[in-house]
Amino acid sequence: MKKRRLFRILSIAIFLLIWEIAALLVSKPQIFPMPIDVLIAFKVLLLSTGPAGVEWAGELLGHSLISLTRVVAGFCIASLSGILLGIVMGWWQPIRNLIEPIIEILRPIPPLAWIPLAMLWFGLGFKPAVFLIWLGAFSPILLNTIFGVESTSKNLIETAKTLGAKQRELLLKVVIPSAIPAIITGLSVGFGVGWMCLVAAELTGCNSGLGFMIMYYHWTMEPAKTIVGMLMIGFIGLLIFMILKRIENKLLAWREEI
Amino acid sequence: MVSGIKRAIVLITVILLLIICSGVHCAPPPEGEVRIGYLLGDLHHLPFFIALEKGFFKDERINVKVIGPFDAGTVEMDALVANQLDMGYVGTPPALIAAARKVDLSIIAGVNAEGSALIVDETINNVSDLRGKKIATPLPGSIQYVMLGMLLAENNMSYRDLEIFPGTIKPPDMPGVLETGHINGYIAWEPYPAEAVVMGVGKLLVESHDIWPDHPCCVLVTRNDFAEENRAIVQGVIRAHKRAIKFIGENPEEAKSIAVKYTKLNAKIIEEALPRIKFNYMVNVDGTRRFVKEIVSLGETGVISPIIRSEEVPDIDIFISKVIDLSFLEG
Repeated sequence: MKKRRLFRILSIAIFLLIWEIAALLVSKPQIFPMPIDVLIAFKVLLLSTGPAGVEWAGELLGHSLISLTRVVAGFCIASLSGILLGIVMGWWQPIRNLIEPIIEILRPIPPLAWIPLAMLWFGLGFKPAVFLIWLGAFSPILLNTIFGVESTSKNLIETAKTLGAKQRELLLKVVIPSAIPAIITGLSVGFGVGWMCLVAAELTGCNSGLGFMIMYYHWTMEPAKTIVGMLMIGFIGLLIFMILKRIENKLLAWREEI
Repeated sequence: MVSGIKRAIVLITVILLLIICSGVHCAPPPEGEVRIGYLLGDLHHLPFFIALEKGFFKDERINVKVIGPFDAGTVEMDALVANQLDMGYVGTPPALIAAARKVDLSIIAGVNAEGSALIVDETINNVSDLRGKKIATPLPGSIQYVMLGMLLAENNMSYRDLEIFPGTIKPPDMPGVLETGHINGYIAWEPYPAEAVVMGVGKLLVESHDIWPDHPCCVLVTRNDFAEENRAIVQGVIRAHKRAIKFIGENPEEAKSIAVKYTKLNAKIIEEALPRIKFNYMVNVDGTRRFVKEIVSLGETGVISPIIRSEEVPDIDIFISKVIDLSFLEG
């Protein structure tokens, strides 16, 4: 364990050293800042006034909070719509046949391609960003739910039917509980994809959020601040991933016990 | 025999003199290649399109490699820093921001003055109606953003009296968003104001000429290391650029059709927009100085996050004299 930690620290130290040497060789701070510049930018962004509404939080944390709110909102809507539609499509074949072709056509379109329409349909700020995050998170949740419902053991369904279970009971007491592991995997993947859609989402009619902050400091030619925003997206993403993994393991602990 | 030798000497002398004269006075124009960038759909860059279309660069024996179009001035400046560009048609603010960040470039000619406008929907009939309305602008450091502030100040208002969306919507998207009713108006450079007027989705409230006559706008910049090594090429580009601006004045109809070809916009939009753009190769030095002062003070008073800081330009006069190089225009 100790050895593993040592290697991790060593890996980051080597990465920083290569970065420092590369920046020194390029010697163009306007496009390739040094790690120390990024550290200074981090301090500046932490202490400067935050965006409207969260001035108290400072620029970096304020934008992060706004981004998190948008991602959580988009994710909640995607979870609700994805799970509901997934159960319906997984359980009733005719409905699935009806809806699947549309989803198959729309699914490969990257959220980025929806940006112009998102702004025209939903205006500025919160709504178009949430829409784009929803687009990203929806598909993995939907597909995993369909898969979970579909792969419910036929034996289990037949046994329940023999015991007199009605359609409603069958769905609520057999199919959905059995689909939960797949749904949780879908939620975890969906949140990750939603978080990754963030930069694209916040390019649309937003004047706050980490995606906006990254672009803003690109416009003002301050790449060190852009890098701070990028690292923050990575760091929060990693944190969320770790939390979701822990929740997933806890919720699905019974699977191993069976 | 003697007269024959004399005749030969005279002939050789005449030939030598002719060769020397042609070398001094009729030197062939420079020959070389230059990479020039420009911005997407920006009608202000018409002189560049004209010089390309009419072969003015070729007449100077310069092979122009067109780079772009770039969708933002800063991206074009990034390309300049990364040595992917030698010269560029770009807005004054990105050039100044880059110079403040110690990018070794110079503004060597003007492209146009004015050429922006404030477009609004039917709920606004005069400047005081702007109070409380949703108005989109390009980035906080843009000339249009600064001019909106000037207009508001003239009418005893400030940015805080409006709901401003700076840098939130890219200018090409502004007419469409105005049509949906999500904003009440916008200030932008041409052809985007003209587009809203022609599409019938907005009306012109104020031209930038009425806010700040002759305000600086687009300029021609060069990387200093390129200009030092290729002075003759840069001068050739400027000669072609001057010729193109003269051409627009003398051949407005042909200029319009070239604008349509290069921006791929409807001819009606070009016709609406062109009269508001003043093409001029002179650099507005005083206007540029005033603009830097405005931007520094907007950052210092906390209206916007500082874009050009006073510590980056401790003496604005020295900064301006370093960043603007008029020697190519004069030479």
